[in-house]
Amino acid sequence: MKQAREFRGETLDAALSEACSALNARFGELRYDVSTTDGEGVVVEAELDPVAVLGLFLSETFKAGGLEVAARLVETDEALEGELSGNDCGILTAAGGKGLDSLQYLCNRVLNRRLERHLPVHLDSDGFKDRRSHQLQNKAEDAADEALRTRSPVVMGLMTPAARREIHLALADDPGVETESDGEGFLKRVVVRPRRRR
Amino acid sequence: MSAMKELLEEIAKALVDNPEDVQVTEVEGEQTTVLELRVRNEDLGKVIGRQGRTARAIRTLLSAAGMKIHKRFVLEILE
Repeated sequence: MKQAREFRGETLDAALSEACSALNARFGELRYDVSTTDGEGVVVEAELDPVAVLGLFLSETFKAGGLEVAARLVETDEALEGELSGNDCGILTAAGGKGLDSLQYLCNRVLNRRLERHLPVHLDSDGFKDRRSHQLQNKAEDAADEALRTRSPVVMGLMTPAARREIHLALADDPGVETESDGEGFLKRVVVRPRRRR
Repeated sequence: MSAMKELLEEIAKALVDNPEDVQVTEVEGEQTTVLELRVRNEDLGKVIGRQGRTARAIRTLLSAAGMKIHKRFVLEILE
């Protein structure tokens, strides 16, 4: 328990309902230890359980949307890792994984507005992000090859900021080409150009 | 109540400070269904987000989930 606070009540139930209202949580969203039960009542150390908070949000959201998806969540020291499975995962990973990225972003808002520390949420489904990252590296290398072959700049397609970052990183150590972002906002594109000879 | 309306309600309620004041009305058109989201004024920023990023994520998720039933959904956040 990282941020547990003490709550007191005449009975365990009373102490826990105190914790629920202070943390603005449902009972199922808490994790707690009973620290003392003296003559005066019960003291519990309680905090929000990130796995429970996000697990409830995801299962209720999938159920509401009629989506056949289940989430398995694991909390590590630095992040909350979510693995999605089920028949409707393809809906989330279609179109370059826009749905998965959006859901991950919303999960981060939903969880971190309630936690006192920041715990990033990462969602994945059956190795999707690794595959996507490999494809981006291949695209980056293809663009670099083309730029060198044609001796002229190659303008890549529209991508998310995260994808552009991957392209820049993939080619950062390439001695033959340099990369640059061109355009504004949504229309930003990566340009791969042959490095000028000095 | 349609699945998309419920989906939007779940998400909006998890984002705001006053979930009891989240309201979604569904206006069904032939090809497109408009989902009107109302929240308390002080919660508007929570469902819109910086540079509209939260609203954009909700829209993307609605259209992804809408693919399953072959319908288009448009999110309108009402003030």
